[in-house]
Amino acid sequence: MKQVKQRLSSAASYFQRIVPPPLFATLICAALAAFVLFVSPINGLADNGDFYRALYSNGIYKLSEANYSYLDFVTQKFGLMKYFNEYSSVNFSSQPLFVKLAVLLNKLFYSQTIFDIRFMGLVNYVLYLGGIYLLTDALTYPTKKWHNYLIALLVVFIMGDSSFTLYFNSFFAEPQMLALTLYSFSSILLIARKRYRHNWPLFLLFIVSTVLLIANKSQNAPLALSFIVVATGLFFLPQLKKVKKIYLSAGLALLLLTGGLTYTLIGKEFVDINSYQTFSHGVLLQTEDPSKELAKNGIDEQYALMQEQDYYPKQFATIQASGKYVKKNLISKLGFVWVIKYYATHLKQFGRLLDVAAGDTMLTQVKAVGDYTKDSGARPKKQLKFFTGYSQLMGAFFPQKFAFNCLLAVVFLTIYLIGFLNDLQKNQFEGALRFFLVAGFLTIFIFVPIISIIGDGDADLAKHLFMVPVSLDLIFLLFISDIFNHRLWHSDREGD
Amino acid sequence: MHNSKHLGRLLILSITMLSLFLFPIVAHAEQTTSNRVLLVYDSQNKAHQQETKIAAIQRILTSLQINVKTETAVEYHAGQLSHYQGVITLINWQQMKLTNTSFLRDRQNFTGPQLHVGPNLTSEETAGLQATPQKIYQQQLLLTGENDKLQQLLPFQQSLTVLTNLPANAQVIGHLKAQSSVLRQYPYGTIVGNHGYLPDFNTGGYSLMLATRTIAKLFANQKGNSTYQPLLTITKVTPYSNMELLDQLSQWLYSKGLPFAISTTTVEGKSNFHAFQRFTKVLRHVENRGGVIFLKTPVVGGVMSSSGPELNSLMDSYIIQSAQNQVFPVGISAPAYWNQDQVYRENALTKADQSLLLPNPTTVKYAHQDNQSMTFKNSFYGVSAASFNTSDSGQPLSLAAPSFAIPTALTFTMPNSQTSLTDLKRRIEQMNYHWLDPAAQMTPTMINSGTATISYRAGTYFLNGRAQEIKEQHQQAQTLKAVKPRELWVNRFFKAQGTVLMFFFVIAFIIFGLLIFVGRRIYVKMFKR
Repeated sequence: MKQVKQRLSSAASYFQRIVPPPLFATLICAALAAFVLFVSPINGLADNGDFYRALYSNGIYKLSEANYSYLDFVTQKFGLMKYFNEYSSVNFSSQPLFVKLAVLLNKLFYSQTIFDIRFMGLVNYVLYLGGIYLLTDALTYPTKKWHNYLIALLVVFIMGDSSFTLYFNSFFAEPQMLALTLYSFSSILLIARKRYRHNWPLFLLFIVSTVLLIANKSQNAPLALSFIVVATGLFFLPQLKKVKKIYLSAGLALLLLTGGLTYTLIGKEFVDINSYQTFSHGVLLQTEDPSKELAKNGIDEQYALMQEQDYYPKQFATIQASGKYVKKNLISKLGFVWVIKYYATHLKQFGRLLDVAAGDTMLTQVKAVGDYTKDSGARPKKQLKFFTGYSQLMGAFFPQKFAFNCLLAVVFLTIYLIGFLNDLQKNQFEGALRFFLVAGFLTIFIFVPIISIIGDGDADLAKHLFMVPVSLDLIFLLFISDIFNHRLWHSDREGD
Repeated sequence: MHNSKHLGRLLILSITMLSLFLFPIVAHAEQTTSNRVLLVYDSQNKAHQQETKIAAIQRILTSLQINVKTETAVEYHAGQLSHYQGVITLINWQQMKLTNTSFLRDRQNFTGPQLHVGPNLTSEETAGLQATPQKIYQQQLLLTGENDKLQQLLPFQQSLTVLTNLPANAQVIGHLKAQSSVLRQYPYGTIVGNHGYLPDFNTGGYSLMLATRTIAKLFANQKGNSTYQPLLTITKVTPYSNMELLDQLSQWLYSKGLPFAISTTTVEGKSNFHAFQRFTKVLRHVENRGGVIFLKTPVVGGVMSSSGPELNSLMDSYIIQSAQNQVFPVGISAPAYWNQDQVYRENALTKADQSLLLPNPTTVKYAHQDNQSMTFKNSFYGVSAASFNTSDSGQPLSLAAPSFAIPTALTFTMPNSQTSLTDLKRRIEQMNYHWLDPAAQMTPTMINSGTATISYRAGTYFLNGRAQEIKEQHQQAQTLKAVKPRELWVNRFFKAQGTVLMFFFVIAFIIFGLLIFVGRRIYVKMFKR
């Protein structure tokens, strides 16, 4: 009996050596995502009309404009331009790096003329799996306890949810945002957990992934501020020499610069689109009749009738919002200051809009577009059910009140502040890094909805809020893993 | 009671009879609805905006109640012409020769009316015209009417093929005069038997008027010089226009005794908004001030051939919602290309028997282009009034105010400021047209949309057959419920007052519990050491 027990335990430790929790989580995520992305019939996200931003400037085109399916079905095959590409990038972004890599792989292994969306999926997939590995490693290191496998399973359950992996087979920027956020989060946590002897590779990883993340999409520009908060914790590292402090400051400056560039390089067209949709999908919403309020704020009350209108009409519209008339008579009068002033005097309405945002926060699966190809025989806009347990659970039960999110943020902040202060007394730095990490991600959790509402109303809200559930999920994972490893109130102490 | 009803019917009948008597052309044109004409063009030549000429000819034919099918010369296939009663060849690009021999052969053997517009007249065509072609170069030409009273300077021409030595039976509509020598003059519109020729064609101004008359004579068999008074039309009105200015404008037109029309889009839903009620109130003022309303079709975004049902229900709700607010459109206005699109035609244009076809916008977006067209009981050709104002010599056309060969709407863009309103008033005052009075002269119209049938006869609006009196403040027949934000059940669950606080307390308790648990462990461990 004793022998059996001994053998079992030696087999178990062998397993632990061969498949440690990070690898365990990565392998399961790899299998799940591969099933969703690469096994025929493949799944992904259909084009909501935004793909063109990533398509043409990277030499990809729709094979047949007439048969191209918007919203309803995933398109698997695209064409690759053979001759000179006259399209220039519509926005400053790091996304083309990833798309170009996918195109290169496609040309090397598949075809010079036809682009298979799965190569885009592959690039996103590999990037993401690296992130999963680092995250699980950061959450479990250095403890060697069995419940680390539980943490690994939780990582799979939360971050391996198909609502995330579906994005991979698409030309959206979100999959790279997800993976880069994982790298950014994990690198700080790994520094905090003293995972490697040298910190500079992790610091470099943090800066590179964060810069790429901020530059990935124009709406990410404000994230620079959140990541400055995250990076502030690094100043608490012990024996930081002057040179290193300079490097650190340079890194922070780089983050700010990227954010600033991303913001200032938003195309004029996008500024117009956002101004318009802030108005039609924000200012005019959550109010019974906006007519008179508009008149009071210096805008012709007739524009109240633009409620819920899109800048580019889906099918038909009363007026061309991109035309001269609207530009001259409406958009030129709207501006950041006007919107702020309006909301400042209509706080109740703004609160309701934030609740709308809070309601959308945990709905990570994009319901507006289909997840299947047309060939699969699925009905239009059919949603994938496979491994979406976490997103369905959160979508159904997460309270849809912005006030709740604020309270939640206060609770997390308090908990990690206690850990920070405890560590400060003991001259430990983990608590500091962790506190600023959590604080930084909480600013994403709280401020991204506010910025989204002010910046673009409820148009495309679920997509604009992408970083909100990601940051909450990461904090949640950190919280649970810290409870499991008994280091919520202080950093890890051997022999405790 | 019964008697008065009878009397009313009699009155309507007599008015209808009277209007038929007043407009013999309309009655005549109705007999030729089976008329089908094939319009063959060489190239759109978009670089020189020549595609507008195709659309203009299509619209002229629609106004003449002729069905037109448009085809490029290269896509013409042998025998196609036998299905048509007439053919128009439009040359847009002089450098490109027509090479489709089956078209050239079929056209030569064609016995119905045929018209050539533009350069590259073939020898077979000149033979049909029984005249000698002559090419003139680098000329600034003056277009004059039959009795020299009216004239308009044409744009400078690099080269032009004109006809000389016309046979005795030739009909000439207008003349081209070279500025260099007043004595040299060439025919503009020419008809010899079933053959017609227009050396040049413009989408506005006097050239359009004379070309229209030529086309009308050749294809619609207009014997006399049938005439139509133009309709003063304010276009590009939207619910977002400056309502105060629109109200002022209609008031001014009313005070001047000028009947008019406006072409406006509308919105779906939002009828409880003050802004919408203000919009319809201003439109009711228009109706009460001698104006009529054309419902403009919506602008087009990402349409597909499957967009038909969406458009159909949208148009229906536009019409019904307007009718609920006593805004009764007398027809549908649309960009010309809508009539060349099967989806737009079947789901929007067919709802009305009167249309106002406007010039195409710079970008057109078809749902399902089939290059066919439908005709209407009455269709106005919308043309910018400004094109009749320019004249480098003599008085502007608008002063002489000639009448038109087809129902024509002279369009003015809705002003956007007091200055542009003043400017518009000045421009209208300078014109001498006898504007078409919809109440007295418009043919009875009808718009159908599922539950509402709107008709307009002799100045009276009828909704589902009942005459309507347009009131200043209209009580809506159907009050719509206020729009409330959509709610999920979870949302409702959390909406109850205090639940957020409750949730906070629950979490706080959990955290306290945890704290106690952790604290106790630390406490116990202290003793273990």
